[in-house]
Formats: sequence, C-alpha cells, structure tokens
Amino acid sequence: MKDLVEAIVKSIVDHPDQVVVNEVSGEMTTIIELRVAPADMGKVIGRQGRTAKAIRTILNAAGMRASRRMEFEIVNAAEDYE
Amino acid sequence: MDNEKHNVNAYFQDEENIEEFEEYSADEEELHAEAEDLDGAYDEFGGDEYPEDILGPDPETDEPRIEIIVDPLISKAYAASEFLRGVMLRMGLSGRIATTIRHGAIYLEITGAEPGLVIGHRGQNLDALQHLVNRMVNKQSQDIVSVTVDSDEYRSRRHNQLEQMVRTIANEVMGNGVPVVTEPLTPSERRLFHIAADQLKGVHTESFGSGFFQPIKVSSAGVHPREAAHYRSHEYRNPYSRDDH
Repeated sequence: MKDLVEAIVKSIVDHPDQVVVNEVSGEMTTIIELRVAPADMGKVIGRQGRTAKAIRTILNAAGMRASRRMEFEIVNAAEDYE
Repeated sequence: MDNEKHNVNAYFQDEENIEEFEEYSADEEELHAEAEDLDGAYDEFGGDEYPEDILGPDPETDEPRIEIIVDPLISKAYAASEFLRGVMLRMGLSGRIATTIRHGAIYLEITGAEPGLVIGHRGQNLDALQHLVNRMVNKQSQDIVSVTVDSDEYRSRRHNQLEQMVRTIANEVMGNGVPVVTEPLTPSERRLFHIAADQLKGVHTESFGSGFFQPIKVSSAGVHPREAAHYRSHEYRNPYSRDDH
C-alpha cells in the first residue's frame, strides 16, 4: 500500500525526492501518512480536494482487495516543527 | 551541323572577331578561378562534417546513428499507460491496457482486470484513476491533453444508460407535468444528460446544488403533451437551437 501511494504521488508532484510515506498497520486498519514539499501540498490536495480524494478512493479499492480498512492522511510539514 | 561549323569557321576568319574571342576566354578563366575559390569555401564548410539537419555517424566510434522524433502526444500516451500500469500493479491487478489516440485525446482502455474493482461504485474508482492519470500527464505541460480511462466499455454503457434515463424521465414529465429529480451525477454525466435532453424538445433540465455530484431537475418546458409530441417530431425545427447552423 505504501508503494502504491508513493508511485502515484511521485508522478504528480514537482519534488518527488521530498515525498515521504509512512505506513502504520493496525489489526484491521492501515494508516498511510504522506509528507510532501510545502510547494507540492496544493498538487497533492487538488482543486476542492479532488486529487486527495482520488488517492483515497484508489487506496480504499486496493484495501478492499486485501480486506483492510485504509486511512489516508496528508501531514502538513509545518506541524512537524511544533 | 555542317552549317553551324561553317559559321564558326567564318567567325574565326574575321580577325576582329578573333580578338574578341581571346578577350572572352580571359573572362572565362577569371570566372573559372572564382568558381574554384567557391569550391574551396565549400570544402572548408563541408569536409568531414555534415550540415546541421543530418546527424551523421558518431564522431568517436563512427557507428551510424538514427534519431527518432515522436509526436509529444504519443509519448504522453505512453507515459499515461505506463503510469496506469504501475498503479494497477500495485493495487494487485493483472490485465491489459489498450492505448489509443482519438481526435487529439488519449484513451486508455482496461480489459481483463477485475471490472468491479477497477470501475467501483458508479464508476468512482475509474474516475479516480482517470483524474490521477490526467494530473500526471498534464503536470508541467502548457498544452493540456485529456485522458479518458475506460474499463470494459463502462463509459459507453453509462452513456446509453443516461440516454435511456432521459427518455424515461422526459416521457413521465411530459405526461403529467410533474418535475423529476435525478440521482446525483458527475459533471461529465450531467453534460451527457443535458445534451440528450436538449434533443428531446419539450423538457427543461437544470442542475442544482453544489459540489462534484449534482442532481438534475427535469421539468416540462410548459407545453401541452400533444404540443410536446409535435416538438419531438422531425417536422419541427427549434428556432432557438444552437446546432441548427
């Protein structure tokens, strides 16, 4: 699941080298955390959150196949410094 | 021929003419010298090098080489299908992607993968894939190219289904005059719905609400059913229709 998000995001951002994906697996749920360059936040979210929603949809479809519940979160880089 | 030779002989027999001829040959020699200079210049320019638009063999290995130039649309179509392939593989799907270019737009048609999973509820997975492929292809380019992702002819089936829906609803609305509200539709579905409804005279369609999914309200265009039937017939041409001209 981690490489799925990584492959999608790296192809749509301007700074693929700054894409960091974390995967936290629980019993039933997998949480995917995405960090991108601040300049790429808009690209990952998209107009009215469409791109983020599309990534979430694909992730849910892939999760359904592996019978896992997927959660997708875009982490704001600025929050890391607090 | 004989006649000409005779004339030439007559020409040289005249002394003045001979002088003239000598002058002429001197001129010719000058001209010839000039031509040689030009040849030299050409040799300097040409030599072992090739003019700009011919690459020639590799200067180091002397191996012949060919440069292939491809329409940007073709390389974009290839990149799009490679991206979709990568995403599908990581979703754990096997299948086939047929890549075509039609009227300046790219079409990626998936077959052989689990259609239920690729298409999703009301095509939401297909739309998500299509959105991501579009983002990837149009990332840094000025000319935006549209990419359509289809699976097992979902798009054309949905188009037919929408047209059928328009006919059913239009009949109902024109029969009793009570407006009907459709299920929420995506922008491209709404577009197809409005186009199909425009062709049936006598109904008025309007999207309402906000957001990505919006329902369409279909109401009677304020005409008697019998009149509406006339509008639907081939005898009638809508004077306000924009596609008449």
